[in-house]
Amino acid sequence: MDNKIRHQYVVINDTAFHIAMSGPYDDKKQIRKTVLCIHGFPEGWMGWRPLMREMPDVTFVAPDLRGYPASETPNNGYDILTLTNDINHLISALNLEKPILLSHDWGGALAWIYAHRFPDKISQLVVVNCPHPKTLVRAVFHFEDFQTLRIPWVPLFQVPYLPERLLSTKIGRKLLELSFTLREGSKGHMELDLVREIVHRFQNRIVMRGPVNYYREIVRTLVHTHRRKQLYAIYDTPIQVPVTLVWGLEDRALSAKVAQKSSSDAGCPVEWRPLQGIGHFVDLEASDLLAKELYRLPGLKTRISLPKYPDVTAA
Amino acid sequence: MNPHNKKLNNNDDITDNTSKKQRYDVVVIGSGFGGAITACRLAQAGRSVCIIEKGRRWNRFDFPRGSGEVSRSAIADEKHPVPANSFIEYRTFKNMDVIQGTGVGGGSLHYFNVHIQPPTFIFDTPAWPKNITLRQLRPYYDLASNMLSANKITHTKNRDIPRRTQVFEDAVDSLGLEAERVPICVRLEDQVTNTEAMPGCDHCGNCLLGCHIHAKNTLDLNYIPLAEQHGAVVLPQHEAFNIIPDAQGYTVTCRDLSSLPANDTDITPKTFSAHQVVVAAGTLGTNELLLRCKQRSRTLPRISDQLGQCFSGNGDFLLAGTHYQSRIVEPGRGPSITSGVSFRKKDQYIFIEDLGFPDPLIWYLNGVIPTAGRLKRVIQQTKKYFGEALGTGMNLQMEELLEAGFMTNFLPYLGMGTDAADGTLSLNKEGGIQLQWSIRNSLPMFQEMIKQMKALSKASGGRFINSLLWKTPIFGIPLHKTLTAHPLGGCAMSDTPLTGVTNDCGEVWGYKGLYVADGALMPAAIGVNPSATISAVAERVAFQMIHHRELRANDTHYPSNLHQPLPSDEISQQTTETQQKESIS
Repeated sequence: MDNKIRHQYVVINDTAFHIAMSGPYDDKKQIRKTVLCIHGFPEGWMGWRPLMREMPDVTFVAPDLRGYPASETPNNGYDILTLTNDINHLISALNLEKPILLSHDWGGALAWIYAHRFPDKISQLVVVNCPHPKTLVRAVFHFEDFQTLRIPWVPLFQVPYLPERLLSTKIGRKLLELSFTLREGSKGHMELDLVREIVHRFQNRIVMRGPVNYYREIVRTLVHTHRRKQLYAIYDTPIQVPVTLVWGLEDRALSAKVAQKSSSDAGCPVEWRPLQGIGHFVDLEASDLLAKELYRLPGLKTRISLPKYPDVTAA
Repeated sequence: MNPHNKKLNNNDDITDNTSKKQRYDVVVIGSGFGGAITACRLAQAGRSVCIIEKGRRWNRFDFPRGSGEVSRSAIADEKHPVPANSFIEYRTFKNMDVIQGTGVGGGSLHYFNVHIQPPTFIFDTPAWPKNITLRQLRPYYDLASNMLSANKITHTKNRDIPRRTQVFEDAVDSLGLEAERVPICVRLEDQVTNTEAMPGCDHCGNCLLGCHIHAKNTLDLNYIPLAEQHGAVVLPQHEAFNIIPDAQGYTVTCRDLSSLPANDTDITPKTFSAHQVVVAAGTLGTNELLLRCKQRSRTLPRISDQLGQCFSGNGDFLLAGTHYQSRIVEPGRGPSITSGVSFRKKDQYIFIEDLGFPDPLIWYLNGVIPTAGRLKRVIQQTKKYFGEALGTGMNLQMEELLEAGFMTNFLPYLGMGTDAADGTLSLNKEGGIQLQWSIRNSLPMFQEMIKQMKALSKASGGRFINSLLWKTPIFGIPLHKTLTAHPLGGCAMSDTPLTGVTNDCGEVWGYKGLYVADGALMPAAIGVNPSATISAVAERVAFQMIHHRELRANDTHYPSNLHQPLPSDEISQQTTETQQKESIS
């Protein structure tokens, strides 16, 4: 199918966001739900491209989050409240009618919190490989399933200036590339060229600073008593939309055991959809399986099966 | 009812000792984009037209498909000069190689279907005559594009868009730019009419080797049959070698290549006389013929000294591309060019397109370029073969050896740009054509083009592979040779005889009734695939020859593209023409 990806900029609170859209798009009559895709660290909208190609009959909206290349990189605003507000403004700016929120990794954390804060804005939450943030933080402090040791880059990212400076060098980009490829669940399913394409975007310190700042700000929020209380108050409202947690079981950075406890913190049942033999980057590695999971959702269920015509041979 | 028979006058029966003279209103030399279009329009206007074509007619089943066939019969070069069995001419010169088409339909037989208008400013550069602007040419572009039914590739109910297009567009996307689909003269959808079913393009990717399902709208399917319907005579396998001015116009002498005698001395030339002659033998052919007439036989000595100057390869840069590690491109599938992206810096214009290679070339390259693990697999297979040949039956798995090679992940580019157009065509001692061209003045453009191709590769996660002709792959020694499929110039259009060879209508300065109507007219590089521009200019030459004025958008003499023989009666011809015009618009 001719699935051209359209690009657009939306300005929210003086920050320009780059948005990639694919699939049938009509402001007036949306037959089916739009899927809003929130990427993780250190990806970008491109991470969702295999999925967009896999599901040409579904409308996808994939922004580059605050601080990522192609979007603007302001100096501040990387705390979890501003980031979730960004998503909220995006939904209203693009006039999305109760989209399905699909999220991965860091985007997943934002999506969990977003679902707590604005339950009436979305129709469904699909999180890929990210436990509920409260569950994750607790697991880190309680050393559950060695979760503390699984994410050693978080303390390193607290160092000012250096992480982004080093990661945006040639060697740093190679490291980032390895962080994708070494964490593949089963060899040979990730498109290496796409990984290189994603990593290639981090050409200077400024575009790497935003993504690293996410880690700095979340630690700051947890350390700062007042801000922590503010965050934990958000968790008190249970999530009121159906939640699906898709999990690539070969993920070694985030423990599946921890993730399975998410439902108690979310305050609602969480549908657990494990994917065998898939690593952390499900969107890059198994877009076909992820597409299958999405087609199960009520908003997307009416899949138009594309008829296969026999090849026309020369007369 | 051949109009030319009717118009033969008594003079035609004059026969000299060796050859028979035939008289036409117009003799057109060449049947490519220049020749076929002018011949068709002139025939439609009621002139008796004869087309002299060096190559032969090509049936759709004659096109080669296997690699052996291709090397045997598709390509003509210095070693195999007989064009009877080939429709691609490969000419090697010192700094540039040139690919040209021969055969009824000329370059359209092997071209990559692109029908694209260049940006406006190209015609505003000082090299072009004042009367030619994009605005002036637009009606002619539309006319040709309607005849060749150019449209952009989309997914049809049978076919998705090719993978190569998708990969190229994604690559351009990663640079932050947007690729535009180029209009291609290909029938994409199946068409069923009352009389016949015409299949659409089956994405075989062999556009270079001729289309075996006629989904490609080559000239021998539209302009030439239309010309023949109106009484034009096509003489394939005739090579014109001299043009002699006489009292009634010109005499064109040519030899019949289909019945070549044993030794050269026996050649009895055929001669045709005509009021007007249109030379459209392809850029190299036109220049060769006119240079011979000017310098060797001295029959046209007054042609401007600019003849052969301003040769341009249109900045063509082929054989470079991006190699991806795991992304599948399949360059051999889909129409050979589908999408492009432009880069402009002041007067420097660069256009980069995705490029498909025909299957035989891909097989060849896949076989030649080593990939990791091939040797290991061959040894494994040999072991297996011997092991099992001695024991239980054979189990040689050919698929394992014929696995996807280097080319599966290779995205070839075609770069074009505004080069300096400073080549010179001249005759060598033997009377053949030679090209003096130096990269020096065009080097900045080529370097910029390579820079952009590199950026495109890098940003999309691949590795840039440069052309073998440009740089040696191992030590990177610069060779700076290019390969062009778009030779242009040599008989540049100009405002004065001092700056060019023809006026802006293609009429050679100093020789009334002698016209040039092909790529040789282009005074400078176009920067995009030139076939549309050559078609538009040829349409203009023909319209100016007939009406001596410019075609307008709603013209009463708008040429018809419909295949219907017109009544010979002059008055009813006028009325049907206007009716047809209305039915089109």
